[in-house]
Amino acid sequence: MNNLIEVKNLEKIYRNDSVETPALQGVSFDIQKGEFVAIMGPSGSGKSTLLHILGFLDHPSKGDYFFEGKTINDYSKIELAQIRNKKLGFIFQMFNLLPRTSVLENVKLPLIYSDIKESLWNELSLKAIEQVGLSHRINYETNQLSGGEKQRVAIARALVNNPSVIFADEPTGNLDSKSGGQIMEIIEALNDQGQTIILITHETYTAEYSQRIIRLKDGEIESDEKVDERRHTHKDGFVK
Amino acid sequence: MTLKNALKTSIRGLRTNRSRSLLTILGIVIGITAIILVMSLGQGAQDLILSQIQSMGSKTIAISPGRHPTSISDSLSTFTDSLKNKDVEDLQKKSNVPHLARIMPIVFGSETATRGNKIHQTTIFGVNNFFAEIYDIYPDEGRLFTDEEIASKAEVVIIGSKTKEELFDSDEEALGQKIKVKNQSLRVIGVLPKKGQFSFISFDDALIVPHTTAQQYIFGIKYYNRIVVEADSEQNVDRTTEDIKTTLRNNHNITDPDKDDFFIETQAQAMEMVSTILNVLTLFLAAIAAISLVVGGVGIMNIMLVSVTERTHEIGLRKAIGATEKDILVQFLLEAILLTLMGGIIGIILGAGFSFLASLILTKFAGLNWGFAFPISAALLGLGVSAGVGLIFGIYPARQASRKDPIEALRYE
Repeated sequence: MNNLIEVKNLEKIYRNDSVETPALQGVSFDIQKGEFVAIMGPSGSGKSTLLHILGFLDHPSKGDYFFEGKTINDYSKIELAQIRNKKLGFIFQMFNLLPRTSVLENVKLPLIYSDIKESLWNELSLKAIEQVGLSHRINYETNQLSGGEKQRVAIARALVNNPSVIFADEPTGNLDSKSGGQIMEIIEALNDQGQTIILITHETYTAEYSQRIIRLKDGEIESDEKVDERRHTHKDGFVK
Repeated sequence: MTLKNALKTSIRGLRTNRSRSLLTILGIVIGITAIILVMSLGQGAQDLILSQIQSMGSKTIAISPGRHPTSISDSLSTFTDSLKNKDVEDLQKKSNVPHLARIMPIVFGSETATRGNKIHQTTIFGVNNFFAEIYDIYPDEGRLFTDEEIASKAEVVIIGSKTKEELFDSDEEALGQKIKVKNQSLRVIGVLPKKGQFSFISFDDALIVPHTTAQQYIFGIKYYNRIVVEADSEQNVDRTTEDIKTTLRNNHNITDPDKDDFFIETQAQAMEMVSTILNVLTLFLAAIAAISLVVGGVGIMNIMLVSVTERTHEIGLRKAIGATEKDILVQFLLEAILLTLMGGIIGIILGAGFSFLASLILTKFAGLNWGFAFPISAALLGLGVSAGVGLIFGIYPARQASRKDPIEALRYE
């Protein structure tokens, strides 16, 4: 079995003052190592909830989530933090970089919470920065960068600990279409090198960079299908 | 996360908000400055007073009339007439007090001295030559008394530098001139150098006359206000004190020591008392200054809480990429402690600086031989207290930060 992620009958119900709001109602799917999966759906469809559970930030109310063959239900808060640190990378819509801090220090951030030797930190960070093509900006502070560059720093930060999977939550949501396209190309290139990617988006043209699209609606899977043909053209940038 | 990296993270956090960090610690800076200043000045005052008392000699014993004052009403009885000439004579006998080296009876009081149309309010001390040795002050013009002058109640006077300024023109020769006190003419035989305040006594504006002259011609009394005795060695101070008590009780027909009409103080006792009083006073003032630390601490807590809210995104991100609750707690707690420690260090430097300035000013303008004292204990206390304030007032905001749900924290706009 080569499943990196295995989800069975996942349910999530938010309870608030005796009002129960179901966010996920029995979701099941597998994701293989090396896949590039887009999870799509309108707001309120449960895609953020699903991301939080898959990203070890939240527990499901019911159902099973196996990550690398192990269920996550038994992990303590500290163990979850350690798994997030070692196995996962996150890219957010708002970039979430530390302000007035250099590119290098931002990329290094996950390493200070890891058990990787400090003598390797610089080397690993520089390698990740090179992968996103920002080697010329290493000592710039993040507020001196453009939106697209900021997101590239965030990608480098997600890459630096060599994670099993990268979660990208609306990574182009705050970018113009040109830099959005560049970001998607970087993500696609990472996938070409074997990196597993799970992309959350509500934009079809972003989702179409992936190999497979899972569509959610009202907490249930509406469709789960392979993308046959890539409809964008690589060098010409972003095509709606 | 290692402590070293936790420190780095916290320092970076503080640097990002540099001006706010500096404003936040102002309360702590003021508090620690005040504490250090008070403690340093207290130490300086204590050193000064103790060194003055010590310079009077550890062999001296002071006998005062009346009961040992234990309350304010008691102190009035200081002005009784129990110490007589006969007491001085008997104390001088080897058979009574074998280890007595020297003895000086004292009478004193406030009087007006005049010369022509010049008037000066002065303190008159009736003593013998022993005063010069005890207080280490010798005339820089003229001389001390002769034994003959003391025995014959001679109308001679040694004047302080201020008295000379008040009663004589600046270029005028004072020696041999006459001044008047209570219609009694006194001939100036000596002028004392300027010495400034000497613990509780200043000779600068004093008149010094033989005790015999003071008793007979100025105050018209037959008793002494004080008798100072010097033992022949430090070891014999206690023995001599007992001998003095026995002699005086015999002379005054006292059998019950509780009914003594005199009391005896040694320099050692005086030093102990003064240092106790000054210590209590210093601690009291430092405690008042410490109130500002509480105010500063609340300020730190307030700003840290704002900072935690403002940095919700950062906290969410850190948690998402693997920071545990403990990592976040340590980060924010260290920020608070570093802030207050920094305030403490600045406060210590400022406090020491102000204290140094004060010592310069007191030496230069008040004529005191005030040494700059910087107690290491005060510096350590300052550091400890400021770190403690950071810990106490930082723990609540740090806990708030560490408990933030990463999902909420990431979503927070």
